[in-house]
Amino acid sequence: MVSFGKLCQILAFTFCAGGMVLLLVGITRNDLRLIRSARRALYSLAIFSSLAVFALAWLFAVGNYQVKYVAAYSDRALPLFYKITALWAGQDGSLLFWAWVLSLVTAIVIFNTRKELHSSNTPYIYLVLAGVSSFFLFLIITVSDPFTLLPYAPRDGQGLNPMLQNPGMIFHPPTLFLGYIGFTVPFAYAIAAMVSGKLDESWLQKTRTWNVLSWVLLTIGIILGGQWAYVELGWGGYWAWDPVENASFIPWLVATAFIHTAIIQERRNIMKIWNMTLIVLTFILCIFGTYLVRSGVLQSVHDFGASGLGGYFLIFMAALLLGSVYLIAASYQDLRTEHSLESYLSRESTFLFNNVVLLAIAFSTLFGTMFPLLSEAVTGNKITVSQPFFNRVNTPLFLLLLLITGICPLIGWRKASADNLRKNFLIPLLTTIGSSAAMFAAGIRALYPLLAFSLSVFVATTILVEFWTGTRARKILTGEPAHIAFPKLLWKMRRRYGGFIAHFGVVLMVIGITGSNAYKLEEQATLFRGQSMDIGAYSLRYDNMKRYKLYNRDIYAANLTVYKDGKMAGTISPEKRFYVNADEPTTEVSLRSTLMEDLYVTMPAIGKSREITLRVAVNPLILWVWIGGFVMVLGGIISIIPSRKKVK
Amino acid sequence: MKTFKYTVVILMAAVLFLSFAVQLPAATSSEIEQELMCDCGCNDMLVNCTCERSEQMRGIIDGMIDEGKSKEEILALFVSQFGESILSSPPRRGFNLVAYGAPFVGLLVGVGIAFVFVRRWRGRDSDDESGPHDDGYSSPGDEMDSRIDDELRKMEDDI
Repeated sequence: MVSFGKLCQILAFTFCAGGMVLLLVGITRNDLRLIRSARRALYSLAIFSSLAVFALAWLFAVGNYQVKYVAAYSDRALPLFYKITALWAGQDGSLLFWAWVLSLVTAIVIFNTRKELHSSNTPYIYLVLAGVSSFFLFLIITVSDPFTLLPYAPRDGQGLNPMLQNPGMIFHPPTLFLGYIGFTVPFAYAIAAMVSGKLDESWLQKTRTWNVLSWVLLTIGIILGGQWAYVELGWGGYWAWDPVENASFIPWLVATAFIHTAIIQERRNIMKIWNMTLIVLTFILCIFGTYLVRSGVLQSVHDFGASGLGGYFLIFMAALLLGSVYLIAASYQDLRTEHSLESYLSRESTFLFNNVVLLAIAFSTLFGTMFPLLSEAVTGNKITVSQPFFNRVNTPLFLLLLLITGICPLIGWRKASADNLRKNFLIPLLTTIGSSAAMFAAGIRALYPLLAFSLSVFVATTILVEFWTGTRARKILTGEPAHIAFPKLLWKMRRRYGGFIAHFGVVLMVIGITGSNAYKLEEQATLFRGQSMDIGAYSLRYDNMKRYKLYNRDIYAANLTVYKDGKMAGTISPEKRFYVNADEPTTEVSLRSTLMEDLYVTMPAIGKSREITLRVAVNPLILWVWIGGFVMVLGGIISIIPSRKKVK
Repeated sequence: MKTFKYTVVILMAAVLFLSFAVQLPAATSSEIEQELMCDCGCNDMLVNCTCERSEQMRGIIDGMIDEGKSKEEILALFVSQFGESILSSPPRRGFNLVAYGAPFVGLLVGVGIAFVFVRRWRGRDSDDESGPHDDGYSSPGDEMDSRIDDELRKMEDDI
């Protein structure tokens, strides 16, 4: 199976490179037969990379520990499910996974464009996709081969990092990768449009689903990563502004900016250069994220260490950047905007300013992430840039973004009149002022939380007003009752209202993030059996300790009775786990989750007399972070549900 | 209309300024932990780390607080022992000010460029700005209804 896997990798690369040659010759000679042959070669690429992935998964399943990668990320005791998903736990396997998914995406694009072979930009789209695939396949077969054999066959593997043995970690990396890989498609279309000179908005229309779907997957990946950190790492938070977290967040910000201004180009045919620049930046930043994890240039809790791949990624990114800049410069005259903007106060201009703020956050995050390297190069001083820096710099920018998110829907396309603005702003402004006063009276006095909650109310009100006015308009137009008009409105205009639902998800997330950061309570205590500790309205009593074995781990679980306001509210059971093949035990969080707050308990230490050290936190409103994330993703999905073609 | 524009600009500037100007309250043990990294090599902030070394560091901090040392003194002691990289964010002096200032300079430059673009795009169409534009997006009657109807029709065409 090892030889089979290796052979499949080599064949996948051969078909990919062959396909590229056929495409280049086909384009030069304008020979459609060669383009068709290239399509078949790229289909073969998908088949052989799938077989290579199957071979590696098989080796994990049967436990062939002579394969270096299998030995490094699994062992006999590991449950089968985690054995299979260990495929993307390390560098070599994750690169193979990347190449495989990209080959499938390429096959889907080839299938979808089967009737567009005569279009001058179609071969270029294939060429870009194949070019990116060939880079990853080249890395796999030369410097990062997951089928490399050890000189001996160990009896057992080293096992999977216990932190990664969590359901969140099964889905977090692949969804992130899928998001990254998905952006290859709009990038390929953009490059093809510039090379072929077909620079109308058709490339945007054709890639809209890919854009939003990739954004949705990237969003899911980031949220799952946060959720995993929250339940697995035991520090009570979900986002630490770690370099690798930032590496996924930066392209997400730029992609979000792109999705917004793509709407402007589709509607008004302006911002063509801007959109080209944004999609190029998004894709290069996706590759940059991959580079950051694998280069070892920055210290992170996530990275794979210095792997020797950094140089290859740098060359690849430089080639992408230089090529893209050249193409944008060469197409500048054709990309120049013909149409005009009537007013500073139009939805188009608010979209532009929303873009500026999104990019400012992306820039500050990138700059902060890379600043330790810059500082060391300039001053010779090693410094750390972590959570407090990013919170301080980015929070004002996020609040500004939230304000613009609220203002944007209140301003009409093209040009808003003063009367129109007064009417649109009246209800949201009055609601915001009233609720801010109520919150202030209720004791929310700190500036950040008050601003964040008030702006959340503002944005939520603008969205609700949009839904209400839309429903009312439909009622008047169709005579339908409100309970029919509302869902029909949602369905019929899902692209528009999907966006609003995503914005509403952002509001819910802001509420959750603000509550859980500003009003968090934390306590640490050591308890003997029968003793209690208090935190906020909660009291926790340590009842007993249970020890048992499960799969590949020994588990010590402390049973605690939870009281809230003096009344029994249930039990909670934090664990200490001792995994086979792990050097250190891990802590397992125990949660009592409600819409208002989470009681978050970890057990960092167990004493000789079975006394336990507990770290307990009360995290207000944190569930709304996950609910908001779900709503945001739901909004994105709703907005790309395809409509049936109208039959006339 | 001008008053409204100024109101929006002032509102945005106020959000930015007020939120940036906010200061953290007086220090506690947990706040000092937020200012420090754990030195076990985990690359986590001390407040987030659960390793044995982090427990030792917490013990040292609690001890210094009991001795009556201030937050600045405690942080200075850690810096003298481990260097500035023990701090979770760079101190606001010297070259580090670039890190704190660059994002806001970037934002201002971005806003400036955006204004230039909008002005240039507006220059291609010299419509009068003073009244509602008769482009089918606003009408003299119930403007909200008209806007919704138009958008409804337009979006239905889009999808």
